[in-house]
Amino acid sequence: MEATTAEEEDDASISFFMKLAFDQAKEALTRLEVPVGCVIIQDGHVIGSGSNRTNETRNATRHAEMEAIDMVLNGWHKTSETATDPSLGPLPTHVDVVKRFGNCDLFVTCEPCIMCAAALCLLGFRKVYYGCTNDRFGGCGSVLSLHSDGCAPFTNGLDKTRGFQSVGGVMADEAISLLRSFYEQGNPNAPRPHRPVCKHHLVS
Amino acid sequence: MGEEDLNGTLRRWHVTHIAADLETTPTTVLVVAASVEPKLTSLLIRELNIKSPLPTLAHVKRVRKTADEGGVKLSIILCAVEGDTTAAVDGHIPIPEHLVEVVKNFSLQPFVAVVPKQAASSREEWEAQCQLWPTSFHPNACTRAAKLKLSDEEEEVICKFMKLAIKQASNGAVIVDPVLNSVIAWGHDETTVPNISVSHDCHDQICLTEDEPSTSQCTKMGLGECHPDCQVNVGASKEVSQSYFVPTKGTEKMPRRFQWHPLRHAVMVAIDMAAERDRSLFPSSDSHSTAVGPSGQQEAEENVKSSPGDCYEDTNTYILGLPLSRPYLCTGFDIYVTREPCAMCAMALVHQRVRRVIYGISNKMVGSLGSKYRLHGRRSLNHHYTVFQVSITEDDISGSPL
Ligand SMILES: [Zn+2]
Ligand SMILES: [Zn+2]
Repeated sequence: MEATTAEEEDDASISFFMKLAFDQAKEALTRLEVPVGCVIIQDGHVIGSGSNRTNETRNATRHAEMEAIDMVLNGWHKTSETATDPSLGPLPTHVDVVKRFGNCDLFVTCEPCIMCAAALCLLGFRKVYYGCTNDRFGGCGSVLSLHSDGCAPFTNGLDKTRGFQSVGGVMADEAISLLRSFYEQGNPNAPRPHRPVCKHHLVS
Repeated sequence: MGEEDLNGTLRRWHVTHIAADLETTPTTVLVVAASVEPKLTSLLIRELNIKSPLPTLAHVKRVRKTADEGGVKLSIILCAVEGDTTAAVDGHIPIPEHLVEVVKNFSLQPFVAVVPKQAASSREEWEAQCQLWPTSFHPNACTRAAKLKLSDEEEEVICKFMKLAIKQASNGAVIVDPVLNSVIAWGHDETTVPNISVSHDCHDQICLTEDEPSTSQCTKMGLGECHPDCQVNVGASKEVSQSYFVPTKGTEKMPRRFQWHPLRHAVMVAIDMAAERDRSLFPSSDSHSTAVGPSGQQEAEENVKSSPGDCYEDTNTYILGLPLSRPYLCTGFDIYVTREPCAMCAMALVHQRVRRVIYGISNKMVGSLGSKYRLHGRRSLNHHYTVFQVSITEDDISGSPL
């Protein structure tokens, strides 16, 4: 967790956006998915949101962050498709996309896993706020520190490695109890035989 | 790469095991053990070898002999403690269901014991290990830090599938079901802006000429003209031919609007396709009203997806004459990827539970399976795959279509 600097964080807006992420997480719970939710903010506006869809898609990479990122990318794509204003230009390029994410913050109820943290680096997010830590898979300090190490893309022209600012512990208790409520009811899609539920399995 | 190359003299690359650890750090795991009457020992060993093999503890001797007042006392390992070990530490002995009968029949009194997690890498370490529980020590044996040796045949199969990954793209991947010995999903890097990804629509796939499943099977798959399972069967057949493949245009839920996507690395694309295959081959119970067995039905009423176990018995899907069981994610599958995965891709493969990752060219900057990180050696992860590297070069992949 990094200490906040000069400009005091607007606590009210942080908890406002984190609550929106929680709404997403609770929505995932009703779909019997691991309850992790996320929103993406640009200039004080929510431009993307999502929650876990790993069970539904049978694709274990469809974490909340990935869902929200795709929503943003689809939105940008659509805007440029229907744009009448020529100054908006054609489809965003890879560089454009990274530039735009550079003005975006992400709020997620649980520390991004290594995969998502790497993705957030690749896209160049500015700042990431998360709830509880993810002791088994966390990529923002728990297992690896991709937010500071960065994850350089294969495609060049987007010079080198970049990380993002990471702020953890926002509404962490709520995040933990939400995850616990999921694991107490049991994950219907876990492979058999069911393993005993334990604290360390809280996050997937 | 021409036919000649595939059928004729196969250029032989080297396959190296990328160990999970650079060096071994002594760690232990818990097992359930029990004292056993000497005269019953061989009977019990035979039973346990069948019912409870210990593949991850091959270095640990099953039986411990200790001197006791009045003679020799034998203890035998029943099984490893899986998952949550805190209960075992607290004195609760977790006996798995399949051993309950054995425990009863042999009147065993199970207890929890501590054994070394890995084979000793030095004599000194071995001596320390034997204080805990006897282990075997082979100065040249495999440990997490040592290299696994593959047979020539295994290496050949690996090289052939790596060729198929290269055939995808210079930055390509294929996911292989090693039981069917066939490619079930594939992909190439789609992070660059359109103009070249257009050619994706018409790039060649290798297809078996014989044993092609019916077209209806392929259509049902929704995966284009060529069923991935008839795509290739490198172990069995020498006859390969080209066929035309038209990929799907994304899934119904998430139309892929982008022809490129900043996160569509080859691995992510291949995982996506494997998941799509899973959904098409094994539609969930709520989209198909076919009977799903007592427990599944009940769940269906509650609008809950049946668990993978329920699907196994009820699917009548056959590929090349074999009944196909629904995979849990990519459990048991191998992925071949031309370049070392980055942290995102390496972790995605952990999430998707692949069995082995075989990559080609190292990526010193961001490679996460040996170069920058050694992700598969991270113990906190809930799944660990084995990693190999095939000694391909930039020259080998420069001729690929994309
Ligand atoms: Zn994640
Ligand atoms: Zn990658």
